[in-house]
Amino acid sequence: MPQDAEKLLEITDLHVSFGDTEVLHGVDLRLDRSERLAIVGESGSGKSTLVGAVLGLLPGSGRVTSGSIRLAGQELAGSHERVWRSVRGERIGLVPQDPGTNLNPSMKIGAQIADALRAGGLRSSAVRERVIELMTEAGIPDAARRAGQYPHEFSGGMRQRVLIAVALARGPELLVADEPTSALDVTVQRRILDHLESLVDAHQTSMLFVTHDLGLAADRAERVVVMYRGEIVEAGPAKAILGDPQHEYTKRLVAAAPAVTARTTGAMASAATSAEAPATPVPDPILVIESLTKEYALRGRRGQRLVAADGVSFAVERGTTTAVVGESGSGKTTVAKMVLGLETPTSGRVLIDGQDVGVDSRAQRRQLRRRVQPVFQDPYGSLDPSYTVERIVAEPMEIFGTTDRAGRRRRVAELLDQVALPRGTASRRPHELSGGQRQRVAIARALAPSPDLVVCDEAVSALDVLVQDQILRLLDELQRNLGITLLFITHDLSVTRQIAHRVVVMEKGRDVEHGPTEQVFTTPTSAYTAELLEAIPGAALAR
Amino acid sequence: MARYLLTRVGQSIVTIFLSSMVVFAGMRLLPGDPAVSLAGEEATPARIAAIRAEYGLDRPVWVQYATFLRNSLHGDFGRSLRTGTPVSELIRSTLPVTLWLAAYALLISVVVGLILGVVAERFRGRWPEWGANLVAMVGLSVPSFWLGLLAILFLSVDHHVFPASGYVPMMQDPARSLYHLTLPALVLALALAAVVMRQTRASMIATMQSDYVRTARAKGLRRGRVLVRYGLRNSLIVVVTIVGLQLGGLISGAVVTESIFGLPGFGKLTLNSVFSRDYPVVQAVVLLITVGYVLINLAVDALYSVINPRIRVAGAV
Repeated sequence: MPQDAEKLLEITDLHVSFGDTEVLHGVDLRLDRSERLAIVGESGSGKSTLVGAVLGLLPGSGRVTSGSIRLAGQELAGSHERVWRSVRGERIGLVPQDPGTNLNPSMKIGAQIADALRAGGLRSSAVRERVIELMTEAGIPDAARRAGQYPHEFSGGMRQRVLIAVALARGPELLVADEPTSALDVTVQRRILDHLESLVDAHQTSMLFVTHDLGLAADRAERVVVMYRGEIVEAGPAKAILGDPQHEYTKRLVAAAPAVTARTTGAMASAATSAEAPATPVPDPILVIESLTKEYALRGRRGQRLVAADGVSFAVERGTTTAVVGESGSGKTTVAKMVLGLETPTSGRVLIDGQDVGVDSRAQRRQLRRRVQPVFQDPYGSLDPSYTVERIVAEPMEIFGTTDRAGRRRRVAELLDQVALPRGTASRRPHELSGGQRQRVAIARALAPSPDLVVCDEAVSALDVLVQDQILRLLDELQRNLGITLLFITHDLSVTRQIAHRVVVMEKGRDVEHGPTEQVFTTPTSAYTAELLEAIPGAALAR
Repeated sequence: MARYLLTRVGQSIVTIFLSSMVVFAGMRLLPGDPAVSLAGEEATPARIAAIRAEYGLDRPVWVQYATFLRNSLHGDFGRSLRTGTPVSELIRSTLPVTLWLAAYALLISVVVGLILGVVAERFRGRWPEWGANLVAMVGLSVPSFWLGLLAILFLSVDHHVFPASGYVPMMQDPARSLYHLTLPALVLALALAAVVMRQTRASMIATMQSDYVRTARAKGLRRGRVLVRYGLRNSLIVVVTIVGLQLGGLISGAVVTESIFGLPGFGKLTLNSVFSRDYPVVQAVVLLITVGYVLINLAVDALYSVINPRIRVAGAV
């Protein structure tokens, strides 16, 4: 049958369990030759389990309980390890998620690529040559020298290129890319995916692209499959699914994807009206940053200094949200730390209501600390696992001595109401909560001492799209009810657009652009901002 | 890299210097007067004073320390109060015995420990792991003197596989020397082997679940190659640290083992000199053990940078 000749991967009624818990409940999937298919889903949807099953690499007690996985007609489910070995690398290549952890830290890059070639039986004399060829092809400059280096000498983007070289080493028919760029900056992500796409096209490789990012899926794949709780809830051409989602979950996902809809929250509405002339000074500023500079001495290199922030100046209007946007290494977190008083500026000042954060008086500094509270990125790492939620939320009040014990108790209950957590949460510990719930606890903790300014350092980047949307709405609502000011540190332009009134764009320690959000997004003045905007995935959806 | 090692060498010298002070002071603070014990049971105060003067025990403490330090640096540790033999000579004759014993035991424990550790990881939840765990449990919980006695009873007295005592210098007849050392080395090695096995197992379990191991398998590599080149190599970092820390235990273990098997080693010398308050000998012995410790740690650090390339760079930057 001619139609069957087109079929490369066919998964029918696949069930996978870990121990007694079934996590994939009858997945059906079909991928044609030289087709690009995206699998979209949030964490826990089973997309990574599916990848594990396709490669015969399910972790721990995971196993395929029933169903079939056919690669060009050959049944793989339940195969012997020897069969799998002949498939892995040779016929299916894997580009894994995190370039930071997927390379052997104690082995040279060249050797790691060579391993893939030798597993395919390539003679050792030809290996070195081919390694350099593959690295060059993956876009790694100076490949001959870099092959002798270790992973820690490579940047995240370059490591991902190495992993791409490994995956394509033996010219597989199918490439499985499991969130290949979610750990990278948007501009790097775009370059790498463009490159990957051109390689895949050149070799006529089929690609299974796994991602949590709807926009990215639509940009990079012809067909999209949406996974939810271990099932495929929707499948079809990218545009059809995203333009006219059928399943309830997909609808919510499309609605929540920030870049897709120019949905305007309350914050956005007021932003649009307040967006006037570009040079308008910020009225009624609560936070003023004046030519803030932070230098770090580089260890072991006398005299050499790393300039993390280089004369950054901006102001934040009371009761509004300002986003500081930039890629990793742009200095945005350094600025946040100085605002929080966690780092001392090398020069320049941070003023809260006209008061310098770096005042000498301990009592005054303490008072300022109370007024500025943080919410950090990692809801798993920033809450003490041995504390109950009540103790976590009450701690700042205890430190600043705001009320007595009974008063704190009442306030905790009130705060939990504000962040829309059930009161019963108070007696639970962080590990019993989901990521979104934990971030709500972190927000409640930040609100506890009634601050004027809350600094959110990548506060939603570790969360799934839907949860991210909920938290952003919560922050918006809190701002309107309590009048708090938000300084939002993020790498995500879509999030910025959704929540911020004003934007400060940072690049290499400098603030290269600021202004009202709509203005920066529609008529960026710096080339860097334009490049960032260009790289946002989801352009395919906006059309 | 060179800079990193140089810093470590500098630190080591300071450590050795400080510990020499502690050793010296410690000896002076111990109850009991060597001159009294040396003078014997019918000592007159004049005899004791004469002995003090002879050994310089009547001079101020700091002068004694300076003399001790200067002489030590020249390899002169004085004479044994008991036998009158130069301490350096005592050390020269006993140290090789202990070093061979320790090296042999170290080799056995690392080889056995690594193999059992890898086996335990590879066959988790099956009988090979249980077996390896049992060996580790015995090694950790059974005291070495008891084990030594059992080994002598069973392997020497009943079955004549190995000799129960005696020593042949390595340079004189390597084969016979190893033959005599095997049983004590096995007894000495078991506890360390148990520790190495446990560490290897724990660290292998963590490493084999890491992302790069999965990626390595996705390349289509054989399990064995993944196990050694990706798993074991990265697990070794932890194992080397533990072995370094435990080597000290090997030295103190040697004291007991040498006594049981009647080996004329450093441990036996230490034990005898402590019991007879032979100050110069104890001082020299303790100082040497300290230096040994410091050198082992230095070697461990140097070994790290070979195993873990990230440290090489951290040192260079």
